[in-house]
Amino acid sequence: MNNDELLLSVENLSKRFEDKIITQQLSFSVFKGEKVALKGTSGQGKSTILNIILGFGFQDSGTVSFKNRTLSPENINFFRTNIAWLPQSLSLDTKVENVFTNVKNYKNNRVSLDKLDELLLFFNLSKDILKQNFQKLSGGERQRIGIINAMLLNRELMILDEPVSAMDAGIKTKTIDFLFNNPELTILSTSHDEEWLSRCHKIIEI
Amino acid sequence: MNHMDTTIDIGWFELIVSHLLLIIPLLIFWYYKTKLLKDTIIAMLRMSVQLILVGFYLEYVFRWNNAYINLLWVLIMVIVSAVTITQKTGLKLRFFLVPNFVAIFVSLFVIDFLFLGYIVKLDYAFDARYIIPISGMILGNSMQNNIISLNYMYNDLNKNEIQYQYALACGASFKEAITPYISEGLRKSFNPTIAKTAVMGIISLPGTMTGQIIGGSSPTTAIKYQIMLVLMIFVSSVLSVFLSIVIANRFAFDKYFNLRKEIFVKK
Repeated sequence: MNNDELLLSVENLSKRFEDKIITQQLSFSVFKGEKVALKGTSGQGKSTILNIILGFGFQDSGTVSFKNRTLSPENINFFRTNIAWLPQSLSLDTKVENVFTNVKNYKNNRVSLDKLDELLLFFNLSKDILKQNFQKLSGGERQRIGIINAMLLNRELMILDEPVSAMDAGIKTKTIDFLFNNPELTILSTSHDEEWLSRCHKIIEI
Repeated sequence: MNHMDTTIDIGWFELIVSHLLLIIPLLIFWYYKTKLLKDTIIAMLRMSVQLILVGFYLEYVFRWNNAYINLLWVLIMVIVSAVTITQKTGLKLRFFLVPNFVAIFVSLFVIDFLFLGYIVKLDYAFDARYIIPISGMILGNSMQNNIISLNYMYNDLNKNEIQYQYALACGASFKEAITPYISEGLRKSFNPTIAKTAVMGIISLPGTMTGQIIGGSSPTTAIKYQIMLVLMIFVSSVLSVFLSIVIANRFAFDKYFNLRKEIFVKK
């Protein structure tokens, strides 16, 4: 494994909403295998930066590149098919099993659900959860489903927005160990959680 | 059988006096404090005045029966219907008027052409007596479907933006990501239509047929027209909903497939 491989690079990113400055001249990079967190006072700032990386929001200036490709309309599919995303308040009006089968059925994906049962078991979720509507789940369950989905997508970079904020202490530690003990995973996250932040290789103050 | 070829006319005096019957619904609305009084009176007045004007106008259009004038009238109906649909969905005319107009225009003319040219086999394809009322029925009936589908598609997509974005981020193509919203829009819009169609003739005697029978047609001819019209209206509405979504989607999303917020009229 080459740990020097640059995956994501953000340069001089600035963004403001009317008179509110979200970020100014922000630069950072994420290398393969790194676990990186964006930290800062609460508010929409950190999520906004993650959204910009996925093309769901726009910076006023600055560039984002992933594997040497600049974020642009031509490259947006490259970004979205190589990065896994867990938004902060994921709300899906569908059965949990559809979340996984959708991902399997999208033409651009090569996703196998072989590991699904094993992952559910690991994250203390019973198989009955597959028949439930996602909306009915607790915040912590939603986050675990989102992380499992990101694992199944098996992408080069995971972007996780407050991934453990709603989890109980026990399952939170288990999740953190699972993600951080895997050197293959590259994670860019936002978090207020001390345990999460203490395990990150890099913390970027916004 | 010897049918009367004209319907018994209604006197103008009787027509005006009949409006007094509105006192009954108005009293009920007033009693329950519905605040519908003003809207009801305006709507009923508009309806009567508009129809009287159209009646006079059509008298002449039918007398002249000129293809260009007939087509122009149908074109005006299409424009009014496209404007109404766009406004009712809370979407900006700047983005949706053209897609709605093209969608309605194309689907209406395809169906008019098939119906009047191949089925009724008119000698004169733009005969005012046929093309104007039939186009009107198709437009009037499909408007509601257009409004519900577009409304659902864009407002719901906007409301569930994270779900849509999550699909894109999970690798869905634009088509795959919007398909659930189009599907639900079609379902919401056509479910009631399908249910109504299924009980036609049992619960309700549909309008065209009733009109034709009063007008002196034999019930057999009347039901044939009715069946054809139900079919044509259905085909035309689904086609126009489909076309307007397909065309509008070219303008409603940015290059990153995000729904453009500027398509909505600010409330």
